[in-house]
Amino acid sequence: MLFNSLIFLYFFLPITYLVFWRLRTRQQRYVWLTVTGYVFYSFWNYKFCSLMAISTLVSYFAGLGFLRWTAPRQRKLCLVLPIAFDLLLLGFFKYANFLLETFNQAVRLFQGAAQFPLLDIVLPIGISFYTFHTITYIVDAYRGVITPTRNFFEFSCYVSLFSQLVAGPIVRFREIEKDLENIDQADRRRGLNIGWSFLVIGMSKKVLLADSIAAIINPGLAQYDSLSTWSAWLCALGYAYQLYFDFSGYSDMAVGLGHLFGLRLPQNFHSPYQALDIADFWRRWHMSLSRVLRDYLYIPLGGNRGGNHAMYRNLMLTMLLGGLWHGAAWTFVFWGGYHGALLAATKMFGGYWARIPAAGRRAGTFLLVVIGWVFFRAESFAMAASLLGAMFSSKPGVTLTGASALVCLLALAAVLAHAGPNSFELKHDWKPAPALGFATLFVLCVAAIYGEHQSPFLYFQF
Amino acid sequence: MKSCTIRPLELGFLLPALLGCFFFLDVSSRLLPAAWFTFRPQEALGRFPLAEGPYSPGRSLFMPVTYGDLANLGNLPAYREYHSQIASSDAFGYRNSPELLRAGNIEVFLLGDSFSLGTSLNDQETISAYLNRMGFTRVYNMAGQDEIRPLPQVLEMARRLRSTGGVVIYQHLERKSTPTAESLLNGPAAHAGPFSRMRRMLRFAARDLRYYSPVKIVCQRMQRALQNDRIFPNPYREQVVVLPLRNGRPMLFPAADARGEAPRSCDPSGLVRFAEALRRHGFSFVVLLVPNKYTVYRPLLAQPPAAALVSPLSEIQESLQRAGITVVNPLPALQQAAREALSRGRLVYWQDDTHWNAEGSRLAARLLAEKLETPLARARVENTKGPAGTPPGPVRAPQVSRFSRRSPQTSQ
Repeated sequence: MLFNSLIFLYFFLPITYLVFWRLRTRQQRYVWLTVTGYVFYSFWNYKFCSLMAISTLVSYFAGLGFLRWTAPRQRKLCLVLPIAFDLLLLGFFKYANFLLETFNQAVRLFQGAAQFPLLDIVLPIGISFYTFHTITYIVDAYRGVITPTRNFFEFSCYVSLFSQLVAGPIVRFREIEKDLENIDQADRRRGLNIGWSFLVIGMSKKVLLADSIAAIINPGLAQYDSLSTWSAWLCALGYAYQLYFDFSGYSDMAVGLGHLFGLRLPQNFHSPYQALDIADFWRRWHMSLSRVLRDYLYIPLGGNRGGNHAMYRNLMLTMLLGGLWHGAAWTFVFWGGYHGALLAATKMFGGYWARIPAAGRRAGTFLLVVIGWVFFRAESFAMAASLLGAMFSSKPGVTLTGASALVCLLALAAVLAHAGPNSFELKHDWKPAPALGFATLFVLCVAAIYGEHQSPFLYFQF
Repeated sequence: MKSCTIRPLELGFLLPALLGCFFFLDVSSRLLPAAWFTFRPQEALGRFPLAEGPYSPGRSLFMPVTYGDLANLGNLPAYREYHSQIASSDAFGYRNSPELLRAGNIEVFLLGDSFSLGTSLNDQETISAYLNRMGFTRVYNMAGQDEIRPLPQVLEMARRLRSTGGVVIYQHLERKSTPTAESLLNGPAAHAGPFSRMRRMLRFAARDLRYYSPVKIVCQRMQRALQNDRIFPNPYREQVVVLPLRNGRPMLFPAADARGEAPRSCDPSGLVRFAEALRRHGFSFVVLLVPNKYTVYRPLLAQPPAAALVSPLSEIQESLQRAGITVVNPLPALQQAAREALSRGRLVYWQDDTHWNAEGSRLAARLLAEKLETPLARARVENTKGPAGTPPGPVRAPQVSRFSRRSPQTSQ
């Protein structure tokens, strides 16, 4: 089920909302949010609900283990076993075929004959996200940052909360613990207005902007090898804005839905295309993932504590794994490595970079990010090379259908992304005139949802 | 929990209220007449088909402006061929004139899909209407939009119409897989009783209420107007190809047909078993093969493809004829007629539609009539003997048709 679908807006959301606010106690609300989370998930594939339930149970019992045992050995066991289990699940469903395919390609490269047949595996939607939820919970409990909950439904509600279940933000338990504890004290009215404000902003970003851009660039990218320079640039810029408005739109909707139920989810995008350098970009883009990668991978690897070389190595490793997390393909690994290299370069040459005027740094950072998105979007290295080749040469070729409309959309997107405030910088306390503007946007969104089949959010596939 | 009073112009009230309005509009508009929103009568009449047939029973609908399915499918308004259309249904929801039921004495049942149903044609231009006007027998059109009428339904309809035998014509379209014996023989009877009728009514009412949404239709039309390959790319365009004919006139074809995608199955054994079962009940069996529009017009394209087209129709025809089934394959005649019509600037299929126009339908009816003589006579003789398991039918004097002077050309 998508947030931008009629079944969600007409049935799931009103029923979930009305029943939630009829329930009085914390426990009732935990149970209800858990149930609705599983119902929400089962609309995609009910068979994989059991996978999420098992992952939840394992992590919950690990949390109980931390409460019960104080001996380091037992605590380590509570840390390692459930994380290994979660990673095995993730590895099997997400990376098994990738590894087999890579092995087969390597064997073919060396003229070998052995070939493993690929497994018939469906990637459970959202597994990357809820696995990270449970892992961060276990690690935080081990470190003593949080006190694990004894209430199973509080924990299961945290893991399966429908608003952040399938594409984040990756909410750490510590970030939502207080709201979960006070879920029976939530301010319904305040949450209602803020929630709908975030919801409409997110929906407009996704349905009106990102999907419109996608409608023009996707047919162009399907014929990537015959694009002209102008078209290739339009596609690359279009994808950069599509991805941003699609994913930040989803995050805004998730935050808005959280507010409707009295839960404040963390910010996930802080105007990333206004970043001054790549390190700044990663502090602003998919912030919840960046924080997870920093706190649970980069710092445990040693961070910047072992000198420059160790820091560059750790940055590179972190970003390579971050790339791999996004998808089981070498183009994602390359994209991660590209950003790792840029981060290392920022550390190395940050002094020189800082001398450039802010506008130049913003433009330069954005250009580097757009080049990175080419690898992120490409289905193969050949596609990436072809697109970059067209972008950085003077090549005649196919003109995009709807190029004029795309230019207008990109201009609007550029103003919003580079000069506009992000949704967390707004007060969400709208006077009647802006409220009517929001109403118009909402009507347009619903009309657009009616008009075409709903397109899934890009980050669902990760 | 704190109190929740909220003013009308706050988002928390305004937006859920708007959503509620949309929902109300959507639900209530589903009860409005479908003809206000559909582009051709077929869809409007196809709502709530509460009897056996594909249409709502006992209705007649005139639409002054309609156009072809391919222009709609490919979102190509520039290629629309506007015309008016009248479509009616009898008391059973099939596309027949009410007079036919009153007259009785029905000997021929026509089964098939939208080609036999007469999609994009007026009531007087369907195959069954032409056959009836030719006057040598009475033909009952049992065609549906897409679904197969299985043996129990055919026999039940024959019983209702007090027909004790005759001929069943099965129309098969080139692009479709041949039906299996199970689908032809074991389908449910139309109505076993009042509960079955109610179940069927509820099922269709639920289906139509669920999937038919005027709000959705209106919103889609607004978006399609923008998806015109100028403002936005037209994503529907790939389902249809536009190819010029020899005289430069553009013609629309389903893309799958132009790509030469063959049906999954050309196994005629299901039809052979259907014929055997019908014979046991006193019916002769005739198969009418309908070629794809692309197959008919391929030789007349401005740039006909060099590669030969392998049509499954010949193979099916040979197999069925070997099994003793009368087959009408109008492909050569349609190609010839299309060539001649094109020289006069006319067509035998609609420019913007998958289906044939009145010319094509009339030609198919004429060819069918020529081949219908022998099986009809055979069925009449069989019925005078009284087929096993059915009461003997009334003895009727063979009617003289306008084609009886021609030498019968049986295909067996």
